[in-house]
Amino acid sequence: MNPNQPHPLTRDPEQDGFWGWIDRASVWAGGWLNPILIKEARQALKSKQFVITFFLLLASSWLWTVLGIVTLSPDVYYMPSGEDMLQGYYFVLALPLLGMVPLVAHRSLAAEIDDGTFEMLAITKLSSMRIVLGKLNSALLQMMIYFAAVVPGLAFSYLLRGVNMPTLVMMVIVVFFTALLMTTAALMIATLASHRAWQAFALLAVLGCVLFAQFLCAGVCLGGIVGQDAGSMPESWLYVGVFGLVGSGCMVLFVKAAAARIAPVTENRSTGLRWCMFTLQLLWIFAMMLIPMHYANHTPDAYVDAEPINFAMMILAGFWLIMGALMLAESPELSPRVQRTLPSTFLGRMFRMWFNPGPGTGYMFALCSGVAAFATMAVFSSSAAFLNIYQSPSTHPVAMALLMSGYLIFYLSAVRIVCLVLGRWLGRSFVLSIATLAFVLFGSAVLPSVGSVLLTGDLPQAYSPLELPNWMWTLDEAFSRGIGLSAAMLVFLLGAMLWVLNSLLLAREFSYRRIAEPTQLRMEKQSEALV
Amino acid sequence: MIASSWNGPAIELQRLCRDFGSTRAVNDVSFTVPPGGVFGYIGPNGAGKTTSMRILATLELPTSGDAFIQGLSAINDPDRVRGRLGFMPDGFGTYGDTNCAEYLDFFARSYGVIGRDRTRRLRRVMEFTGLDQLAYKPIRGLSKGMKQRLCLGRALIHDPAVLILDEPAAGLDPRARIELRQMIRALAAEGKTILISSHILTELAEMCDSVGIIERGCLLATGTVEEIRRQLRKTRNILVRILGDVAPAVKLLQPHPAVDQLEGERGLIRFHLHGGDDVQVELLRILTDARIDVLDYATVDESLEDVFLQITQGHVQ
Ligand SMILES: Nc1ncnc2c1ncn2[C@@H]1O[C@H](COP(=O)(O)OP(=O)(O)O)[C@@H](O)[C@H]1O
Ligand SMILES: [Mg+2]
Repeated sequence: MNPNQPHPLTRDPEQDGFWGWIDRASVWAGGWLNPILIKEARQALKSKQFVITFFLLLASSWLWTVLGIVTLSPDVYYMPSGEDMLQGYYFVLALPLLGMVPLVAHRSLAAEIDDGTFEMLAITKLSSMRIVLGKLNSALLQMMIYFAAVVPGLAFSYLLRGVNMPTLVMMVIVVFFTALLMTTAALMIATLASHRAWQAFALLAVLGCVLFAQFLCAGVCLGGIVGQDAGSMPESWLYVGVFGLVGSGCMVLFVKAAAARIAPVTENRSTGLRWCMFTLQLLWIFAMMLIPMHYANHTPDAYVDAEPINFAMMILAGFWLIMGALMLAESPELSPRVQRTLPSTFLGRMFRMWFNPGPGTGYMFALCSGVAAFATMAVFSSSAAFLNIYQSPSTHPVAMALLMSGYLIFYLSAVRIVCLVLGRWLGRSFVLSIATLAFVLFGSAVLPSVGSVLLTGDLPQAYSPLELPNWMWTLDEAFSRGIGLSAAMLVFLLGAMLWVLNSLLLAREFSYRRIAEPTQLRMEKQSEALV
Repeated sequence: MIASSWNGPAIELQRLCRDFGSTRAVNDVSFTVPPGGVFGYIGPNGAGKTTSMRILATLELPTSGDAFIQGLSAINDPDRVRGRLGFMPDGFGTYGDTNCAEYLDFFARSYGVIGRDRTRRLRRVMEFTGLDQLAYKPIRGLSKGMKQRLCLGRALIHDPAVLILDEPAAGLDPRARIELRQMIRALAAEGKTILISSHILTELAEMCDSVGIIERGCLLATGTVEEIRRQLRKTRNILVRILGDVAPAVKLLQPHPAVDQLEGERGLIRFHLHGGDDVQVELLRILTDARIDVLDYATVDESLEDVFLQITQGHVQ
């Protein structure tokens, strides 16, 4: 650390021999690593928080080993006690991975944004995606290091017998995966709060997610996986795989959304996200068909239970309502930069226009994707019915598809109209559209009860078609006694009417055409292509 | 670096406007800076300097108008503009627990400067800014002057062709100011295009090829310092030294319509002259024609501060 010596970072690796080669190779490899990862790793090594966490982890791992042996004595010497020991190690692993890591990642990105260091980062050549991935990589590195501190403990519990290797592996996978999912969510939430006032809420949201994940994961891992020895059941691997698939889709969506939030406003921040939502929907449909099909092949009386598929439709309707509301906050003005990349051929315009940025295309995109998905799932269930390998659910899949389509179209159209009106005074924002969505959903749910109280002076006693605007009661009914085709048709028709009203306001956005690139840019791209 | 075929202006603002709510921070500002030029951007606090520079640096969007760096729009092609631009903001956050070398190294990597280029640029920039002595020093412990050097170093790390420096001298002690000025001159000599802002005209006058004076979002005047001075000199101070009594000369000059605030005593006459060079020559002819012995006949320069105060009306937002 002699200040007169040049700093090691400013020196080229010049030595010969093996160590020189190692030196050169690592410098070369470092050039390709994400700069943020390098920076954060350097900072982490210096930061007390990281060092303290690591040694606390190590210490609690050892402490539990000693404590566990003492409390389990003398059984531990001749009985398989791995499972009891593992419960302690689970918490030593899950508390930092599921709690600390997402919070640190969230703070790290949020602090970057409100300390003003982010702007300096934004004007470098790092893309917004690389910035987010850099933060994610740092979190992953931390997870690896924390994991390393617990590995001896896990190995020890295996040696004590009572835990199978597949179960142990499954538990570690689930913890890692959940931690990664939480981290991407935390990163996305960090980019949502651009004002200081919102940051407290953002932190609360992350804390909520983390706590929820902590409980859920503990239940699944200790009760489900370790308790049932799930690693040796192929069925549970199917679930891990299916949820892993959908979860990965969510992760990509979160990361892309975070990157879009911090990207320059003139960039096309929407099309990529829409492809992502679309893919996530495909994964969801695939997963939700796979599970009933698996049971159909593995149960003696071979039937397809359509109830989970109805349930999947409901989740999807919620998904598209929220995504649709978020897309409604996009700006209807397309920057010249975006207009340069619009599809220009007839076919391209027909199929890809839905992916163009803008609230109008977003609205149509959400509706079309949702309705197409409901139709697909209804056809799947119905064909199973046709093949007589079908257990009838409470609501017929076709009625369910109509009902969900109707609700999606009706509520999103209503939100769009309200946002168009309110937006004139308040301006477009995510907060406005989500608040409107919440308000519309709540209002519609209480409407029949309020009407009934006003007219008869009493709350409605039993479900009737008058309760259709109350989506909560209707859904409850759909999964208990079932909703008829005619009621579902009615909801769908109401939605369609609101859609017709809306579509009158849509034309402008679909009329955007591709524009030419400026000469200087074209020349530069040509010279790049030559190099 | 990409071989650029561009030979137009290095920086160009086209009718740039930016509103914050009802305040118009930048109002229809246009100017160009040729490659290798040093442009001083001068105006009181709240004039809109920072806002327009942030638009150029791709950090802010204009309400209307466009800004170009080497012919590429900072609004529509920010990713391409960023590589050729070094921006030094007036206030900036740093990672307190990194040291200077690590900080610069991080930004070198972020700008895609890797391998031997990276170590070469790091050495070059640290030597240029004098940070090589402070390589191990954590940023938290740096003085304001050293922080400014670090910030300049960061702006230079990827060897950009265009530099945008927002009030780099603000809050520095006189010595640091002089050193900063030397560094900027050295950069100009290397052929970098520089846009530099300040609220003090004299600070920039000697190192700028041209200046623009902005107030309340409007560009009031552009040109070389000399041009601006002349353009705005509607009245000039004339000092006449006369051998002998001043009374006859005073009697001759006093009634002239272009002469104002005349005072004469002990061989010296001062007055304000309204009008151009022709009027000034005419007055001298009147004096010599009347056979008055004129020793000196000179215009007295107004200080730059006077010019500045004349142009701007002292509105501070
Ligand atoms: N983010 C902002 N929000 C609202 N007003 C702003 C913002 N940034 C600048 N302004 C306003 O714009 C005007 C110009 O500010 P600025 O460009 O910082 O001036 P200068 O750098 O010349 O001192 C000021 O009136 C300032 O209050
Ligand atoms: Mg300023």
